[in-house]
Amino acid sequence: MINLEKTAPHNAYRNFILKKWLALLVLLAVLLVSVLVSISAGSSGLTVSEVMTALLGRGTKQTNAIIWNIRMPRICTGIAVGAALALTGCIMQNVLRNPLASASTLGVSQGASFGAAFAIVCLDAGAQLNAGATSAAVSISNPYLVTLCAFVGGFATTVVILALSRGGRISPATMVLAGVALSSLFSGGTTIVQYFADDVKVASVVYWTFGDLGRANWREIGLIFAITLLSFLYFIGNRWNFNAMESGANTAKSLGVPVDRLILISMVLCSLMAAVSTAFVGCISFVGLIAPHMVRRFVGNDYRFLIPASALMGAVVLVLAELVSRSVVAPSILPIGALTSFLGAPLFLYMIFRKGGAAQ
Amino acid sequence: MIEVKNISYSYGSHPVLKDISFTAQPGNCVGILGNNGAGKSTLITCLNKIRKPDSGSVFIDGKDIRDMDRLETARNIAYVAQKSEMSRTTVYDAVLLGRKPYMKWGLGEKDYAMCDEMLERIGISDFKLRYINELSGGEVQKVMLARAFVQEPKLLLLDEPTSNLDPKNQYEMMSIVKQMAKERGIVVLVVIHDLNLAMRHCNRYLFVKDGLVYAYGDSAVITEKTLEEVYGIQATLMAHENRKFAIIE
Repeated sequence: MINLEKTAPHNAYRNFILKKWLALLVLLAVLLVSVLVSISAGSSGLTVSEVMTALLGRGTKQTNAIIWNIRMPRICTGIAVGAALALTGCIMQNVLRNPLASASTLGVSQGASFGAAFAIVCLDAGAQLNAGATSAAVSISNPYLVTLCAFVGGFATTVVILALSRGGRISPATMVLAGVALSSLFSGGTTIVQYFADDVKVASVVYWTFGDLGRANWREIGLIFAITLLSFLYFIGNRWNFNAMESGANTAKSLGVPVDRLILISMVLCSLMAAVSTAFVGCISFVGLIAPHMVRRFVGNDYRFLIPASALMGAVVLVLAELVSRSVVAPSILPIGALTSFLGAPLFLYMIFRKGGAAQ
Repeated sequence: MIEVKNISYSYGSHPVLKDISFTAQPGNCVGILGNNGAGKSTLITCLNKIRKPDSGSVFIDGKDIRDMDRLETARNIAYVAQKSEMSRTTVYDAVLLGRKPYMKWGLGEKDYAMCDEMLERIGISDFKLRYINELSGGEVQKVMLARAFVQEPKLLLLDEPTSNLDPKNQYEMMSIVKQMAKERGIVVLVVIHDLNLAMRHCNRYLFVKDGLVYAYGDSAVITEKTLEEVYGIQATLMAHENRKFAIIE
């Protein structure tokens, strides 16, 4: 062992890196297991083998329909949205140098929510369909228009946050306070939009703001996946730049990082991911904030690993939250946005107290 | 050779640096001295494009840094900030960052070898897998210094690297800087407040007052009159074994 150390002194580092790869593999395995458990659980009482054959497309017509039309879309939405929100949190925390940053704590999701509500109510981009007992879901007839409006709303918040963070050195807590102010501004806006809408639209917008993974169809899931994948590739390509940002913007600049461009493109992509997630499933809070912090314990602030690990953890959290939302009061489905807020808010408070103490 | 030519910079309409020029030879360790607010840190950040000076530039072996792209600039000029953000990053990863300007997609054997060598050299090899936010201030500055050296710069900018360190760490840090500058022919520009520490480790002195170069040269420029006019203090200079000391009244 001592000999090895001499010939290749960075062996210890290699082993250390290997452990991080292992952490990624474990997370991937956890995600696969969560997906399998989630897909097998449900009110129709399918066995695991029936689920498996249906997954391979060889089940009966009925099981195929349950798996591919009901459960798979929910799970795929969970994976895509969880990954998108976690990536958003992970990258915002880096470029804004703020451990409390995420789409929901800074008001980006609420801005996107307002934009989407505006599109649904005022621009007729949504129409209420199948108003059943459990699914008074609004179906989006023009997903691109809704995404665009959500993006405009989310990006408006981003611009304010960016202006604040450039103007002077504001503390992480102040930035979150600004996020609270922007959130109430947009919530007020959403209320006003609802006030002038007719009953049916109000019902659908109210229901829609709860957050529901069962709402997106395959075309929309594809759009969320595409935007998330694109952003992921950009982030991974810049992984060393994000690592450099960890030592502060000036040091990053001295290492040749195009800091301003990196921050701007990253924030645009984060707004886009937050917008597309919010547009199709509603506001899902805290996943984006919590998931990166959960994996930081294992992989540190090394963005080569933190970026994929955050995405995986976000997906795991949302798939499991979705499973819980379907199971606790089955056959009813709890709104997942309410569930993640319920579980995430105490964690967020804990972080504020801990970080607040350290920041003094 | 490093030539700084006619650097001017202002915050809005308030001029901070006025036509700063000086040259330094490889191996020079230049102490930048002056009161708080004299523009020392601003000067440092104007030299590696962190700030864009209103006019003037830096020439490295005759080449204008304005003609270099971001990465080429980073391969020529390294920078250590006064206080680094403490992140949950390992020492090894932090030092590897110094190879970033040379990186295409990933790291090569050469990059790892250089990091290993530098960690040994600076004496931080034992805790290379510890997280930076668990280290002491002195250890962190050594990590940042190691990162700057694996950048293989021709010009190294240090912004008050010793201001948060105890005397032993101050001495160790400056000794490493002085040795490396000599050995590798690096020009070091260091903003430093401790006059005696500067006189112990630097071989050129740049006094900045009101955004102007008040005096520049070897230890001969340090006189009681200079100290009085630059710092506004009464000091007595004494010599001991060919070294000057300042005793502040």
